[in-house]
Amino acid sequence: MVEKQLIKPLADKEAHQSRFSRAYIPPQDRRVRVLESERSTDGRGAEFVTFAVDERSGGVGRRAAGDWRKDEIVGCVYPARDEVFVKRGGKYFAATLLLGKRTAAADDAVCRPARVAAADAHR
Amino acid sequence: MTRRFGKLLGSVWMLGLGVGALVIAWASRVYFASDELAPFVIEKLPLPHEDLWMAALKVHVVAASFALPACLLLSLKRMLRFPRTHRWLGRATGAIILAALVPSGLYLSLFAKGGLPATVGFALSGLIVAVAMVWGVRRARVKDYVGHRRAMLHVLAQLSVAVTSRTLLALLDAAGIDPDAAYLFALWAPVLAGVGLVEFWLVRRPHRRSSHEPNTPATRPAPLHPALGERPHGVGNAA
Repeated sequence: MVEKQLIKPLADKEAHQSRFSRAYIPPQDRRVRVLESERSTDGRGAEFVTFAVDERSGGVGRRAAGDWRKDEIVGCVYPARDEVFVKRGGKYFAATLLLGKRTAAADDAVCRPARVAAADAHR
Repeated sequence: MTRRFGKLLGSVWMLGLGVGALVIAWASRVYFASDELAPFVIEKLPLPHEDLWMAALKVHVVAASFALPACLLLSLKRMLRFPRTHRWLGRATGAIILAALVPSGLYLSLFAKGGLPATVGFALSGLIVAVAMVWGVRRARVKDYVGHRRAMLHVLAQLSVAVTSRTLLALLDAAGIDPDAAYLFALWAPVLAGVGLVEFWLVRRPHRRSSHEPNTPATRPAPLHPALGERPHGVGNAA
């Protein structure tokens, strides 16, 4: 789901991105890692899975196979609802943000296990 | 032979800066498209005052799109044949740089990728531009064209960082250098090299006399406090 909703469209978009910019230079490769083997449940009772995306860059002096920059994108997926969220500055946004669509931050329950969210609420 | 090679190198350099400035200006259209966020904007989000930051970015790109090509034009030897055009274009460029480019750039530097070292790097470059611009205008007003040229070369050198740092970023990425380290190097190296190039090479070259230069020795420094009667009046003598 992350590949389909985020990685592939992001790569397609970046193919047209100017390299002559102060914005990040698109990586050559991305890989998705699922961070937990079991699904978590958020404060609203919805199940989600956390993921991280690693990136690798370099053309002429392409890096060794193991030299990935880890956790360049982190987020979570709600398989039942077909939704992908990414973390930016401590908040979660719909993954379409990275594709250039303006979107508001998701509510605080999103991508946070219920027990963690409850502990945060009591602080 | 060396002189000819230097001249060729200079022409290629100026052409490269001109093309680079046009490419940056053309690519900056994306910041004015209302339906889609640009990658440079996306990677900054979320921002504490997004509207203010976006406004600063738009002011900065518009001001820079004018300032760098204008500075390149003003630095052309041929332009010195048209002193009035040089003066008016210089005034407009100076005003835009001091009123729009530098203030917006200083604000944007607070949110620069790369943290404090990047913020300091961008701010230093901006302050060099502002100080050199004010200094250069004052030198022109007292008809010290050697000092004026030296100051304006500093302005041009720092404005050209926009092109040279982007070129370095692309090269360092192709070489597989870590993006964070590459970003800082690609910022600081052109900023410092610009200062060094102007102070230790360009200003020591034999001076080219301008067509509107007074008939006095080119190396004569202008008096710090010219007598009132000698002082040029109004903005008519500003660069």
